[in-house]
Amino acid sequence: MDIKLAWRNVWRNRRRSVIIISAIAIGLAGVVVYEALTVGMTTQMVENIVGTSLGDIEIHHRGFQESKTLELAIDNPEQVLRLVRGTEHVSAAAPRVRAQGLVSSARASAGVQILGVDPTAEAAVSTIAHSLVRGRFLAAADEYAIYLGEALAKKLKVGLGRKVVLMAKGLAPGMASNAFRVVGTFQTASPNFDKMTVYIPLAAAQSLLSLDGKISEIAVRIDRQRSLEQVAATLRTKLAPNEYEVLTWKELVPNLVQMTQLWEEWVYLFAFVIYIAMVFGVTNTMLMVISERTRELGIMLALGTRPLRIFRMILIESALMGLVSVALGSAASFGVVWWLSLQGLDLGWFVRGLSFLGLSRIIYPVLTPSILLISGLSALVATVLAAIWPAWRAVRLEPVEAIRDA
Amino acid sequence: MSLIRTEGLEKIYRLDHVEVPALRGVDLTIEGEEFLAIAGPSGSGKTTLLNLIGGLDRPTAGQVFLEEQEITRLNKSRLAELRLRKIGFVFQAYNLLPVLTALENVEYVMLLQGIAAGERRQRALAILGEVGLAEYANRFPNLMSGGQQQRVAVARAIVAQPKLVLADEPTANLDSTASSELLDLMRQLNRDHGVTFVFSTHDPLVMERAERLVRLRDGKVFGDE
Amino acid sequence: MSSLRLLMKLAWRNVWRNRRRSLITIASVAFSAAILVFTEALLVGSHEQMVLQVLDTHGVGQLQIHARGYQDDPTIFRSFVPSAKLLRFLKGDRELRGFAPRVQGEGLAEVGQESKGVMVVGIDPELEQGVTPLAAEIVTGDYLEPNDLQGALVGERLLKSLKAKIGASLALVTQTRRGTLGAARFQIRGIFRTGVPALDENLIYLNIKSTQRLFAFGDRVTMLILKLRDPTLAKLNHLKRALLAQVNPQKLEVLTWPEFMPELVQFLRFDSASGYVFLLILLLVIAFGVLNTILMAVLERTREFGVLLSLGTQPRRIFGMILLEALLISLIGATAGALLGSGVSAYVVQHPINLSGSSMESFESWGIKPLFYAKLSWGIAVYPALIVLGLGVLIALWPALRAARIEPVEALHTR
Repeated sequence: MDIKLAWRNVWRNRRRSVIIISAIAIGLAGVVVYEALTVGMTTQMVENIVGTSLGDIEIHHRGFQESKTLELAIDNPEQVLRLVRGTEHVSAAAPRVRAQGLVSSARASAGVQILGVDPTAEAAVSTIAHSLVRGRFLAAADEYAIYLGEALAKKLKVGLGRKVVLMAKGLAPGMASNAFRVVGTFQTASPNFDKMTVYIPLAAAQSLLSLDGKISEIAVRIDRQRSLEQVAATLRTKLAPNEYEVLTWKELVPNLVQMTQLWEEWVYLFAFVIYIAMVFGVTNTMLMVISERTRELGIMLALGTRPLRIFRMILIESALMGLVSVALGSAASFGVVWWLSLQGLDLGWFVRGLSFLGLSRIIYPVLTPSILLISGLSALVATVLAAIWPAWRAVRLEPVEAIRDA
Repeated sequence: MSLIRTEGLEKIYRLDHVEVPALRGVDLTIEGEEFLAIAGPSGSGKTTLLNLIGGLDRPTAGQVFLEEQEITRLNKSRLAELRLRKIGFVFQAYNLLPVLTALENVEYVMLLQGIAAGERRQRALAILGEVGLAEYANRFPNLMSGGQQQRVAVARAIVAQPKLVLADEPTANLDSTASSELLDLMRQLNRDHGVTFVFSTHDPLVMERAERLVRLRDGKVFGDE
Repeated sequence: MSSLRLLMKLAWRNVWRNRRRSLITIASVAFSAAILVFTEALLVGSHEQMVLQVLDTHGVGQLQIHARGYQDDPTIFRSFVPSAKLLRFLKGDRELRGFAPRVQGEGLAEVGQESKGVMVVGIDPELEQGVTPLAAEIVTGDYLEPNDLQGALVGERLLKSLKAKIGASLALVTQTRRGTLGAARFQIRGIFRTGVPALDENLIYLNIKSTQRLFAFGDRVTMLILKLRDPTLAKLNHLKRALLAQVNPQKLEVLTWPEFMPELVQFLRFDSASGYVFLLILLLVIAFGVLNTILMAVLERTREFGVLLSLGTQPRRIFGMILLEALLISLIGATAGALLGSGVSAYVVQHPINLSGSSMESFESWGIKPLFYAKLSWGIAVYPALIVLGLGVLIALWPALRAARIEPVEALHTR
């Protein structure tokens, strides 16, 4: 009964209700789309970094992350790999050798990060094979082949099939060097990565660096992000903790986590300001409702309606408008997000790129149920809170005066 | 030359597919300086007739002539100009602007006419004196009695020196003393300023005071005495 | 009383007929104006500081002179000998806080068993202090003495990955300008920390003379970096034009920071754009709220407008009156909001918001302190307020048009 009454009251002044509902719906849609784009951006940033050169989880010899020294290597890679691959939610795992070196052509040289990889396994854990620009990715049969960033190839002025010399300090005394033939070049979202990374076959890396079958890390991909901590925990119990360290991407790039968090906090602050703006609009609208119905409310009070009931009725009325707004706002944000996800939001019209953030030029929004739920609930709470003061004023009306007032 | 002449005036209101005829062919001539009452039960078309004469509304058929100028085809802006120069209105519910004082309410019409500030003030004060409200000049309407408010409304209607004042049931909200006082005032202004007063009423006491009485029934002139 | 004054009075009294409603409307307008002013003050202030800090921590100066083509292809094969004329000009320029030569190239650093690819930067220890805060970034050991040709300054992270200590011997292997191999030994004198991981794990500073020898440069340099006393873009561009008149543009290129750090410009633009999108949404929500109040105020007074019309008021006058009322409300709101926003901004100008300990610290990896700065100027305080004011009047157009179109007879019949 109360709800029916409140619902009819909402539509007594159709124009006014439509305007205030539009205000809340637009604000909500704005917040949701903004948030979806932010999540889309952070997801892309994470995927670009984690998917290219790291892994959801990395396993090293204990102390490697801190020192990055080759001496702290995993000396039983096959055994560990078998163990990792047998863990639930692990979709792929690959061995890597990670070292620093200098790459030189006849024309130039550059300090680089050398990644020795098993081509087949690497293609399953990272997107590097798909970032191909020219030539091809490493193949299982390759011996002294090298796959390097397009930007680096340009800098070294080398083309496909040409030779470059890799120089690095391995476990053996003195500088080791060897010639590698360029089989392909890549381009990722990060120009810095492209300028300072080369991929060579695992065996070649092990022999260059005198690693004797040892590796620096095992990169792990999992099938769903929400199991990240759980998989890491399982691996930690399976692997001897004094010999191995198991790190999630959040621990590998804490900076990225912080950056993601910063953006999210900014969006919350933004949403908060928008909700305050909504409160202003709703409070004013509900005050108008009360003053228009002063006489009517006076009659209700005179008839013996309990003030609490009137208070509740006003809140219900506001909540109903809030609900309609949330429904419309959610629908609108669905529409906008869907439209944006078709071709993506091309930032190219105002920035040439955000590659230094590890971002591509095109952003795809990511709308999660929790964004929609939390934003919708907040908007609803804002509309109900905004009606408290007007409802309180309605309750304090003196019946006689209210009736005379009309 | 007559002041007002209507020819075959008809007005039909459309209410949700139902046609309600309010006037069904009124032919009426009003001369200058008349003091005329239009009487009839509610729904007889009094208000509609006054609105059409005042150019507030357009007839469905027929014509209204003000000083032999046809006004039914004028545009909104021309009609506003016409009302401003030649016609004053008094309403049943006084309808003073609540945010203006008595003096300012009277001044407002002259402001629209573009009369200089000094003259406006002088004339407004004079007319308020004439209606016996000199000491209420700076009061806001909500602090005045109904009779007082209606006298301000009359002052407002007359101050622009119109040819014609149209008053729609001016006494309906007043008690008999206030009604009588208002009629005295209107009659006096009619004589002193030579302004034509046309007012509607269904109060027999008011009808008695009119110089000429036009009776309306079912949208037609039913008697003219 | 002039006619304008009566109109103003009429509008003013109408605004205060429903005091509570008008106050809330004014408050919402003021709120949006204050947020607009404060956001703009934060954006402008923080961006200015960000630029200065990033340029400082990256030690790149504000203006650079390179051999032509270096910006697009930064290799040791593009270098130049600064002419005596150019150096004389730089020394004589009053606007300059300092300038310093640089020799830069890649190499492999080796300490004991450890090695790492690095960027070798040769500096003039004295001139460098006029341009970059390197001397102040030394956390352990000492800055380079002017004549110390053996000393090296190593980034904190690089030191760790080389497992080296102060005083350790460091071998550098490079490729020279002629394509031959260059090598030399140095001693680690000091450790620096900029806070930017990419710099702290890659840079080694040497004396410029030893670096020239290492890369077989002779008297050549990779670049000259310049710092101004008052680094506004206008001054930078002015200096750039003056420099272009001094050098042979066929051989050298002169770049201001937006040209040699385009990614910084991109970031600032992106940051501003996302701020403005937020403000746009805020304004939309506020605008609908204000529209509702003004429209309702108009509809409530329908009867009154009927009276005004029957008195002979021209419809356009009623239109103007509503706009005037909206203007008054927006004017009060925008002024109050601009004052409030400027007040808060002025406080933040004096006391930057310290966000250390929060996720803002992630900015430190770009060489930006976790502080929010504000900047206040007439433009920052006034333009947002004008936008809000204009919007307020724009919103009132519809209600005003409705009021002007009211039919007098119908209006007189409403309650």
